[in-house]
Amino acid sequence: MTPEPNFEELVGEDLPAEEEARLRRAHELLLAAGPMPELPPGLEEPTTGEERRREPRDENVYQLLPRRRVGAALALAAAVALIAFVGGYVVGFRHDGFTAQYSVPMHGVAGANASAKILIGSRDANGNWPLRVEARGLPKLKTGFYEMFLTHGKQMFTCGTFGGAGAKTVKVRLNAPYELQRGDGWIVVKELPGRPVPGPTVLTTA
Amino acid sequence: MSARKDKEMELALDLDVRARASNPKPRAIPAEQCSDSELLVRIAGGDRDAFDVLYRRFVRPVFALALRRLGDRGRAEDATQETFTSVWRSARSYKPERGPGAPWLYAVARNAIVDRTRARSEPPAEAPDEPSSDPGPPEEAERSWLSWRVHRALQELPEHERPLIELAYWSGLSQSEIADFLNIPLGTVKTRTRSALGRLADALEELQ
Repeated sequence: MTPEPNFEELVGEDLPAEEEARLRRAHELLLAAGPMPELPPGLEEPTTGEERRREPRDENVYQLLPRRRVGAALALAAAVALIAFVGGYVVGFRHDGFTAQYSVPMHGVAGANASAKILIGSRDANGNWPLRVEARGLPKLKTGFYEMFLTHGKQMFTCGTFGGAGAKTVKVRLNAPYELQRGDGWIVVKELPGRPVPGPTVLTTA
Repeated sequence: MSARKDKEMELALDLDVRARASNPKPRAIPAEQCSDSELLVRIAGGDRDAFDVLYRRFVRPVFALALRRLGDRGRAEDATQETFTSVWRSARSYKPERGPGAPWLYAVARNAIVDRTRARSEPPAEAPDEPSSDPGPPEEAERSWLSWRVHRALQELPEHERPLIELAYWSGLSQSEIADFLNIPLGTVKTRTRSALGRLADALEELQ
């Protein structure tokens, strides 16, 4: 159970009595209300319900945008887009038992001395894209962990979590059950267990 | 000929300016700046942008309410989607003169959640021998309403303040740990936290 925050530590001890009472009431209401839960991916995008009736979606793959165009002829364009949207490149090699089709570089945010490489495997029949992430320069966190997201505008779609290894390279297998070509980038953020919203971004493809 | 054309154009321009001056068109307020009530009125007129803004404001409070009542993320997600489908379909039934938008939306959400509760196929539980210490329906309703209001107020906090409250209250981090986690000075954490609590106190004044 999360310990209650200390009110005096939050607001200091130099407040006029009336203001302190006002803030203390807000503090008590927050404690009584409890946390807001993290939204499931299905609620990230506003829907009126009409879209759902018109476009039944594949249960196994989260779409990042409503499906407006259908056609297998776009397969090549999709592959190109998949690479283009994150500035990656086609690789097609086997590395440490992982067959990568594409590779996407990531860099540290705000001059942080961290970097990563996302290797993307072949999509399986259920819509899963296996990922292998090789990150270096992400410090071990005293509390929390790192989480990688595929992004589409302000939306974020989780691909999995991992721990940092400092100067050593950490290599982890993650998964993206999404239509990757509809995304616009990848980020890695700091996370805390049970925290409803992601923390600061530490790596990005932008 | 050319001079006449120019004159006509001038006249046309003059007329246009006069027309605008005598009958100025009201400039539409961006949906983000509208009250909940104004958004519902716009949604009733089929304004999709207004719906998107209202959705962003309320989706987490609605989901939190549904999860609290139903205790299951899948059913809570369904109830949340049903809530916003109902808002889109029946925003015309909202009457601004009867009160603000948030309580109306709360009632819509509560109905969607009750429908989900009724849809359960589980047999009713046997009555316990001992009286339960769980809150009864009136207390639970009051608690749900309080959480709803607090969560709605939290959603309105600026982006640079809300994470500080969530980290302080529900992640168990001290102020210095928050500063470390967010890579911002401790003084900034303290200032923003105090400011956020002040905003929440303003927003929740009627609950006090």
